[in-house]
Amino acid sequence: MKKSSIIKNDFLKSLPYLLPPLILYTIFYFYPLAMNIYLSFTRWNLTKRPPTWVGPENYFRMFSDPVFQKALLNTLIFVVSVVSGSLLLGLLLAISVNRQTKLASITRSLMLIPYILPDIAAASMWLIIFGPGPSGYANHILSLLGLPTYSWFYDPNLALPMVILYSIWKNVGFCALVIYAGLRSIPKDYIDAARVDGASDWQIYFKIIIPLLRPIMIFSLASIIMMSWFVFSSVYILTKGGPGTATMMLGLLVYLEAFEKGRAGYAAAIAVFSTLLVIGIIVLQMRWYRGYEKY
Amino acid sequence: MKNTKETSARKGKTINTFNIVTNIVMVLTIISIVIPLYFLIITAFKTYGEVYKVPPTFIVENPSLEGFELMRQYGVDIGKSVLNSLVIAGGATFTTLLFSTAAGFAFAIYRFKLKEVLFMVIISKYVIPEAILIVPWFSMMIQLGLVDNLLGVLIVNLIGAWTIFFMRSYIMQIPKDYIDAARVDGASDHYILLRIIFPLIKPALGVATVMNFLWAWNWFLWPLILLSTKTNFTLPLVVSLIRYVYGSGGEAPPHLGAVAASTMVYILPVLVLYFFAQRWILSAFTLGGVKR
Repeated sequence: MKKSSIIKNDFLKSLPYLLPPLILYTIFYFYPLAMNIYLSFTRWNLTKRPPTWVGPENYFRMFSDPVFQKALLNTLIFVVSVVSGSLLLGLLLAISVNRQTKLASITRSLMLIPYILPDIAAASMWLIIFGPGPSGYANHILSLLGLPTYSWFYDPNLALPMVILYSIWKNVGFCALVIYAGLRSIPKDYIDAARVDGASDWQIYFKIIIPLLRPIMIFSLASIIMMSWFVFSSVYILTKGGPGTATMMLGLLVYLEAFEKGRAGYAAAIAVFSTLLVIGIIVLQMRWYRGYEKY
Repeated sequence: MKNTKETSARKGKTINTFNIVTNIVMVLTIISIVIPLYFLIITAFKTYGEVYKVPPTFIVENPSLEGFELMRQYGVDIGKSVLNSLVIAGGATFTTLLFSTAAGFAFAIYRFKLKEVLFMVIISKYVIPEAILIVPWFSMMIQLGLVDNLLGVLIVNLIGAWTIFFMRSYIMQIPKDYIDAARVDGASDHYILLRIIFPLIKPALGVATVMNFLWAWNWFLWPLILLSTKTNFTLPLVVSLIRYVYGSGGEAPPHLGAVAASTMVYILPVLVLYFFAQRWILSAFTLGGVKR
């Protein structure tokens, strides 16, 4: 009896501190979320005229829309490549900087720069290096080495790999840092014991440290999936989905449909579908992680 | 005996390849970060003619401010854009810290029914992507008359889930005795937050300030949608505008010198902040990685 009165008391006391976030969240996150679901069943062109109800038409249309299919496929390729690329290279980089040398400490202090640079700025830097003609820096260096030159972001076959490469470059330092923090938290005894038994550095990493890092790797996995699923800014600057639809992504398509083509209802439907899909993927991935934990 | 010798010989060899591989990885990493910055700086001072010169120049031949000049020709006031970006990032950082610290405090010290549920609801914002919010947000801004208004950019970003989570974790680490002792002395909760908790969480406030500023400085999608007048543009919008202005009838490629010039203005505060607050930034990421 007494305990419940304390609980009630605390709730009232906490209200002044919790009210601002609750109000802001309701107005700017939960209400719009519900509204987006409603809008996905309407046709609306972003004007003051109210949306007209069309039922699930937008969803049917989505699956017969080749641009949407391309965006979905590209997003899946992009996310899988960026996630695996940044995690593997991040692991390699984390192992590399986990030493007491001067080079390692310089690398540690620089490696997060691509990640903290704003997307628009970092992508512009890539645009400048990978200029399409012989005047581009990268092309010039390739031709000096006697290698063929490319039009990079303007080449239909190369544009998507380039966007992927850019994103790996952007994220690898973040992954390396998270993994490096994990490396530092592994008890030294484990490593010393292995060393006494005559294990080499490679063996220590592959047989002892990497298995211990699995939880951290899986945590980074979830955050990069979330970050890269709705990739927008970098693709907007690098290619705007082009050439053609070679680099069209779901996040970009939502924007283009709503704000350049004025099909806000259709864009809302794409957003609902894509969000449900990524949440599904993350839930599956968490299940897989729990499976490992039991093991 | 022979066996041990063999192992140690093998060990010596493998350590060598280990050192070589890791050193190569580090050198490549540094090159991949420093070279783009160098190309950015030289390109920012090139004329249109020099940007598209074959072969490209690796040291600027005729340093010029043409890129900066061009921004003005496109109707961009770069000083005003810096100010717009500062207002947005500063405003969002300030309100986020204020509201999130208060909320983190409440979640850390109070006990009430459904607290965990409420916390999960608030943290769930972390997985709501911007893509699913932009269309409704735009519709709300039409209603509120905030289209093409900086206030409309700011108003949807006044609070952050990460910061609430971060402040709560930090405040929970403070020994309960401090708070209980103050309560016995009859201190109010406001007094406890301002006079006891606040001085103890200053490092966390520093980390959260830097992180929120960097995130807000990065915002692109929502300002791009909402803002249309060039004097309202934030810096990333200026960069993207210049990138997509083409010369004669959309045939000539964009002026990469001007793209570089605007990008340089845009990243300068980030790099300065990174070098001065590096320890805080690193601790924000490692805390997030290890704790969860």
